[in-house]
Amino acid sequence: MGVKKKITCKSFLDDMSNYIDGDIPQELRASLEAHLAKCPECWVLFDETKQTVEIFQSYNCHPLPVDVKDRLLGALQNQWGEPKK
Amino acid sequence: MAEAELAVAQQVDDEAELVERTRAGDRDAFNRLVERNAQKVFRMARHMTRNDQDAEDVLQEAFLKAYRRLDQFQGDAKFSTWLTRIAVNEALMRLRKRRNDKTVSLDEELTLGDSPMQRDVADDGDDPEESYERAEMREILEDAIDALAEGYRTVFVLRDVEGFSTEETAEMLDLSISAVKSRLLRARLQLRDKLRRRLKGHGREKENHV
Repeated sequence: MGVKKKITCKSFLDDMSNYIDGDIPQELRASLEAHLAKCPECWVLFDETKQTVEIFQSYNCHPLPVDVKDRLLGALQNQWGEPKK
Repeated sequence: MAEAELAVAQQVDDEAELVERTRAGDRDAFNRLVERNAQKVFRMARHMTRNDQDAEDVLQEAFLKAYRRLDQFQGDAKFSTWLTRIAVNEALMRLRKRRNDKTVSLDEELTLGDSPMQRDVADDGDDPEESYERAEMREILEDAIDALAEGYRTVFVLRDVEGFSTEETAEMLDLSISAVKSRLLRARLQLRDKLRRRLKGHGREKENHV
Protein backbone atom coordinates (compact mmCIF):
# COMPACT_ATOMS: atom_id res chain seq x y z
CA MET A 1 0.00 0.00 0.00
CA GLY A 2 0.99 3.66 -0.26
CA VAL A 3 3.06 5.71 2.12
CA LYS A 4 1.21 6.61 5.33
CA LYS A 5 -0.13 10.14 5.24
CA LYS A 6 1.60 12.46 7.68
CA ILE A 7 -1.05 13.80 10.02
CA THR A 8 -0.71 17.22 11.56
CA CYS A 9 -3.25 18.85 13.91
CA LYS A 10 -4.44 20.93 10.96
CA SER A 11 -4.90 17.95 8.65
CA PHE A 12 -6.57 16.00 11.47
CA LEU A 13 -9.18 18.75 11.72
CA ASP A 14 -9.81 18.56 7.96
CA ASP A 15 -10.57 14.85 8.24
CA MET A 16 -12.20 14.79 11.67
CA SER A 17 -15.81 15.07 10.51
CA ASN A 18 -15.40 12.22 8.04
CA TYR A 19 -13.70 10.20 10.78
CA ILE A 20 -16.63 10.76 13.16
CA ASP A 21 -18.97 9.57 10.39
CA GLY A 22 -16.83 6.50 9.66
CA ASP A 23 -16.56 7.80 6.10
CA ILE A 24 -12.84 7.37 5.67
CA PRO A 25 -10.45 4.91 3.96
CA GLN A 26 -8.88 2.27 6.21
CA GLU A 27 -5.32 3.50 5.85
CA LEU A 28 -6.18 7.11 6.62
CA ARG A 29 -8.18 5.95 9.60
CA ALA A 30 -5.11 4.19 10.99
CA SER A 31 -3.02 7.34 10.49
CA LEU A 32 -5.64 9.50 12.23
CA GLU A 33 -5.84 7.08 15.14
CA ALA A 34 -2.05 7.09 15.46
CA HIS A 35 -2.18 10.89 15.65
CA LEU A 36 -4.99 10.81 18.23
CA ALA A 37 -2.97 8.42 20.40
CA LYS A 38 -0.15 10.92 20.75
CA CYS A 39 -1.98 14.28 20.59
CA PRO A 40 -4.21 14.97 23.63
CA GLU A 41 -5.44 18.28 22.19
CA CYS A 42 -6.82 16.64 19.05
CA TRP A 43 -8.21 13.78 21.12
CA VAL A 44 -10.20 16.19 23.32
CA LEU A 45 -11.45 18.10 20.28
CA PHE A 46 -12.49 14.85 18.59
CA ASP A 47 -14.12 13.45 21.74
CA GLU A 48 -16.10 16.62 22.46
CA THR A 49 -17.23 17.03 18.87
CA LYS A 50 -18.35 13.40 18.71
CA GLN A 51 -20.26 13.87 21.98
CA THR A 52 -21.85 17.01 20.57
CA VAL A 53 -23.22 15.08 17.59
CA GLU A 54 -24.43 12.27 19.85
CA ILE A 55 -26.20 14.57 22.29
CA PHE A 56 -28.30 16.11 19.50
CA GLN A 57 -29.24 12.63 18.35
CA SER A 58 -30.28 11.57 21.85
CA TYR A 59 -32.78 14.39 22.44
CA ASN A 60 -36.12 14.88 20.72
CA CYS A 61 -35.76 18.57 19.92
CA HIS A 62 -38.91 20.53 19.09
CA PRO A 63 -41.49 17.91 20.06
CA LEU A 64 -44.63 18.20 17.94
CA PRO A 65 -47.31 20.17 19.85
CA VAL A 66 -50.70 18.46 20.06
CA ASP A 67 -52.53 21.50 18.68
CA VAL A 68 -50.20 21.63 15.66
CA LYS A 69 -50.85 17.98 14.92
CA ASP A 70 -54.61 18.44 15.31
CA ARG A 71 -54.58 21.34 12.86
CA LEU A 72 -52.57 19.25 10.38
CA LEU A 73 -55.14 16.45 10.55
CA GLY A 74 -57.89 19.08 10.19
CA ALA A 75 -56.22 20.54 7.09
CA LEU A 76 -56.11 17.10 5.52
CA GLN A 77 -59.78 16.50 6.35
CA ASN A 78 -60.61 19.83 4.70
CA GLN A 79 -58.74 18.80 1.58
CA TRP A 80 -60.77 15.62 1.52
CA GLY A 81 -63.97 17.59 2.00
CA GLU A 82 -65.00 15.80 5.17
CA PRO A 83 -65.83 17.16 8.60
CA LYS A 84 -63.24 16.24 11.21
CA LYS A 85 -64.32 13.28 13.30
CA MET B 1 -60.74 1.26 15.49
CA ALA B 2 -61.04 -1.93 17.58
CA GLU B 3 -57.92 -3.25 19.27
CA ALA B 4 -57.75 -6.34 17.09
CA GLU B 5 -58.03 -4.27 13.94
CA LEU B 6 -55.34 -1.96 15.26
CA ALA B 7 -52.99 -4.88 15.85
CA VAL B 8 -53.52 -6.13 12.31
CA ALA B 9 -53.04 -2.64 10.95
CA GLN B 10 -49.74 -2.37 12.79
CA GLN B 11 -48.51 -5.57 11.19
CA VAL B 12 -48.89 -4.07 7.75
CA ASP B 13 -47.48 -0.81 8.91
CA ASP B 14 -45.01 -0.55 6.13
CA GLU B 15 -44.56 2.71 4.26
CA ALA B 16 -44.79 1.26 0.77
CA GLU B 17 -47.94 -0.61 1.72
CA LEU B 18 -49.44 2.52 3.25
CA VAL B 19 -48.67 4.51 0.11
CA GLU B 20 -50.36 1.86 -2.05
CA ARG B 21 -53.40 1.82 0.19
CA THR B 22 -53.61 5.63 0.07
CA ARG B 23 -53.48 5.50 -3.74
CA ALA B 24 -56.36 3.05 -3.61
CA GLY B 25 -58.39 5.61 -1.67
CA ASP B 26 -57.72 4.56 1.93
CA ARG B 27 -57.38 7.83 3.85
CA ASP B 28 -56.67 6.08 7.13
CA ALA B 29 -53.52 4.76 5.48
CA PHE B 30 -52.41 8.32 4.77
CA ASN B 31 -53.22 9.30 8.35
CA ARG B 32 -50.85 6.56 9.45
CA LEU B 33 -48.14 8.06 7.25
CA VAL B 34 -48.86 11.36 9.00
CA GLU B 35 -48.54 9.70 12.42
CA ARG B 36 -45.20 8.23 11.48
CA ASN B 37 -43.65 11.27 9.88
CA ALA B 38 -45.18 14.45 11.35
CA GLN B 39 -42.71 14.77 14.23
CA LYS B 40 -39.69 14.43 11.98
CA VAL B 41 -40.99 16.92 9.42
CA PHE B 42 -42.01 19.42 12.11
CA ARG B 43 -38.63 19.24 13.84
CA MET B 44 -36.75 19.71 10.59
CA ALA B 45 -38.99 22.64 9.57
CA ARG B 46 -38.72 24.27 13.00
CA HIS B 47 -34.94 23.99 13.04
CA MET B 48 -34.70 25.41 9.53
CA THR B 49 -37.16 28.30 9.90
CA ARG B 50 -36.58 29.04 13.64
CA ASN B 51 -40.21 30.02 13.83
CA ASP B 52 -43.19 28.06 15.17
CA GLN B 53 -45.73 29.40 12.69
CA ASP B 54 -43.50 28.84 9.65
CA ALA B 55 -42.76 25.33 10.89
CA GLU B 56 -46.47 24.58 11.15
CA ASP B 57 -47.11 26.01 7.67
CA VAL B 58 -44.28 23.92 6.23
CA LEU B 59 -45.63 20.82 7.97
CA GLN B 60 -49.14 21.28 6.57
CA GLU B 61 -48.00 22.24 3.10
CA ALA B 62 -45.61 19.29 2.90
CA PHE B 63 -48.32 16.75 3.75
CA LEU B 64 -50.96 18.38 1.54
CA LYS B 65 -48.54 18.45 -1.40
CA ALA B 66 -47.39 14.90 -0.74
CA TYR B 67 -51.01 13.73 -0.83
CA ARG B 68 -51.80 15.62 -4.02
CA ARG B 69 -48.60 14.45 -5.71
CA LEU B 70 -48.63 10.87 -4.54
CA ASP B 71 -48.87 9.72 -8.17
CA GLN B 72 -45.44 11.27 -8.75
CA PHE B 73 -43.87 9.27 -5.94
CA GLN B 74 -41.75 6.62 -7.63
CA GLY B 75 -41.06 4.24 -4.80
CA ASP B 76 -37.33 4.12 -5.52
CA ALA B 77 -36.84 6.31 -2.44
CA LYS B 78 -38.51 5.94 0.93
CA PHE B 79 -41.73 7.89 1.34
CA SER B 80 -40.28 9.67 4.38
CA THR B 81 -37.28 10.84 2.35
CA TRP B 82 -39.49 12.04 -0.49
CA LEU B 83 -41.77 13.84 1.99
CA THR B 84 -38.81 15.47 3.75
CA ARG B 85 -37.53 16.77 0.43
CA ILE B 86 -40.88 18.43 -0.20
CA ALA B 87 -40.72 19.95 3.29
CA VAL B 88 -37.11 21.12 2.86
CA ASN B 89 -38.11 22.90 -0.36
CA GLU B 90 -41.03 24.55 1.41
CA ALA B 91 -38.78 25.67 4.25
CA LEU B 92 -36.12 27.00 1.85
CA MET B 93 -38.80 28.92 -0.04
CA ARG B 94 -39.92 30.57 3.18
CA LEU B 95 -36.35 31.44 4.15
CA ARG B 96 -35.77 33.02 0.74
CA LYS B 97 -39.00 34.96 1.00
CA ARG B 98 -38.06 36.13 4.47
CA ARG B 99 -34.65 37.29 3.25
CA ASN B 100 -36.37 39.34 0.58
CA ASP B 101 -38.96 40.66 2.98
CA LYS B 102 -37.29 43.55 4.77
CA THR B 103 -40.21 44.00 7.14
CA VAL B 104 -39.17 40.95 9.15
CA SER B 105 -36.43 41.98 11.55
CA LEU B 106 -33.94 39.58 13.03
CA ASP B 107 -35.46 40.20 16.46
CA GLU B 108 -38.89 39.18 15.25
CA GLU B 109 -37.42 36.12 13.64
CA LEU B 110 -35.93 35.06 16.93
CA THR B 111 -39.14 35.46 18.91
CA LEU B 112 -39.89 31.87 19.61
CA GLY B 113 -43.36 32.00 21.11
CA ASP B 114 -44.36 29.64 23.87
CA SER B 115 -41.71 27.70 25.63
CA PRO B 116 -41.82 24.10 24.42
CA MET B 117 -41.96 23.10 28.07
CA GLN B 118 -45.35 24.76 28.45
CA ARG B 119 -46.98 23.06 25.48
CA ASP B 120 -48.65 19.70 25.24
CA VAL B 121 -46.65 17.57 22.88
CA ALA B 122 -47.77 14.80 20.61
CA ASP B 123 -44.72 12.81 21.51
CA ASP B 124 -44.06 9.50 19.89
CA GLY B 125 -44.07 7.89 23.19
CA ASP B 126 -41.05 6.77 25.13
CA ASP B 127 -40.67 9.86 27.27
CA PRO B 128 -44.13 11.11 28.21
CA GLU B 129 -42.95 12.87 31.34
CA GLU B 130 -39.78 14.51 30.27
CA SER B 131 -37.77 15.34 33.37
CA TYR B 132 -37.07 18.96 34.13
CA GLU B 133 -33.37 18.39 33.50
CA ARG B 134 -33.97 16.84 30.09
CA ALA B 135 -36.42 19.57 29.11
CA GLU B 136 -33.88 22.18 30.14
CA MET B 137 -31.11 20.48 28.19
CA ARG B 138 -33.37 20.11 25.16
CA GLU B 139 -34.02 23.85 25.17
CA ILE B 140 -30.29 24.52 25.38
CA LEU B 141 -29.75 22.29 22.34
CA GLU B 142 -32.60 23.96 20.44
CA ASP B 143 -31.17 27.42 21.19
CA ALA B 144 -27.69 26.30 20.16
CA ILE B 145 -28.97 25.21 16.73
CA ASP B 146 -31.03 28.39 16.40
CA ALA B 147 -27.87 30.44 16.93
CA LEU B 148 -26.07 28.87 13.95
CA ALA B 149 -25.96 30.75 10.66
CA GLU B 150 -28.54 29.47 8.18
CA GLY B 151 -26.07 27.72 5.89
CA TYR B 152 -24.55 25.73 8.74
CA ARG B 153 -27.84 25.15 10.52
CA THR B 154 -29.57 23.58 7.57
CA VAL B 155 -26.69 21.24 6.79
CA PHE B 156 -26.33 20.21 10.45
CA VAL B 157 -30.04 19.50 10.82
CA LEU B 158 -30.28 17.39 7.67
CA ARG B 159 -27.06 15.46 8.32
CA ASP B 160 -26.83 15.03 12.08
CA VAL B 161 -30.39 15.48 13.33
CA GLU B 162 -32.37 13.88 10.50
CA GLY B 163 -29.66 11.47 9.38
CA PHE B 164 -29.56 12.18 5.65
CA SER B 165 -26.38 11.21 3.83
CA THR B 166 -23.89 13.79 2.59
CA GLU B 167 -25.06 13.11 -0.98
CA GLU B 168 -28.76 13.50 -0.15
CA THR B 169 -28.08 16.71 1.76
CA ALA B 170 -26.01 18.10 -1.12
CA GLU B 171 -28.78 17.32 -3.58
CA MET B 172 -31.54 18.83 -1.43
CA LEU B 173 -29.64 22.06 -0.83
CA ASP B 174 -28.05 22.25 -4.27
CA LEU B 175 -24.56 22.26 -2.78
CA SER B 176 -21.36 20.39 -3.64
CA ILE B 177 -20.36 17.41 -1.50
CA SER B 178 -17.30 19.31 -0.27
CA ALA B 179 -19.45 22.32 0.70
CA VAL B 180 -21.74 20.06 2.74
CA LYS B 181 -18.74 18.49 4.46
CA SER B 182 -17.06 21.78 5.32
CA ARG B 183 -20.29 23.35 6.57
CA LEU B 184 -21.00 20.29 8.66
CA LEU B 185 -17.56 20.48 10.27
CA ARG B 186 -17.98 24.17 11.06
CA ALA B 187 -21.46 23.61 12.47
CA ARG B 188 -20.22 20.77 14.66
CA LEU B 189 -17.29 22.81 15.95
CA GLN B 190 -19.49 25.82 16.73
CA LEU B 191 -22.00 23.66 18.56
CA ARG B 192 -19.21 21.94 20.46
CA ASP B 193 -17.93 25.36 21.60
CA LYS B 194 -21.41 26.31 22.81
CA LEU B 195 -21.98 23.03 24.63
CA ARG B 196 -18.51 22.28 25.98
CA ARG B 197 -19.33 22.91 29.61
CA ARG B 198 -22.39 20.67 29.37
CA LEU B 199 -20.87 17.61 27.76
CA LYS B 200 -19.52 15.89 30.87
CA GLY B 201 -22.80 16.46 32.69
CA HIS B 202 -24.65 14.98 29.74
CA GLY B 203 -22.74 11.73 30.10
CA ARG B 204 -23.85 11.34 33.72
CA GLU B 205 -27.44 12.43 33.03
CA LYS B 206 -27.68 9.99 30.13
CA GLU B 207 -26.54 7.09 32.31
CA ASN B 208 -29.09 7.94 34.98
CA HIS B 209 -31.87 8.27 32.44
CA VAL B 210 -31.46 4.80 30.90
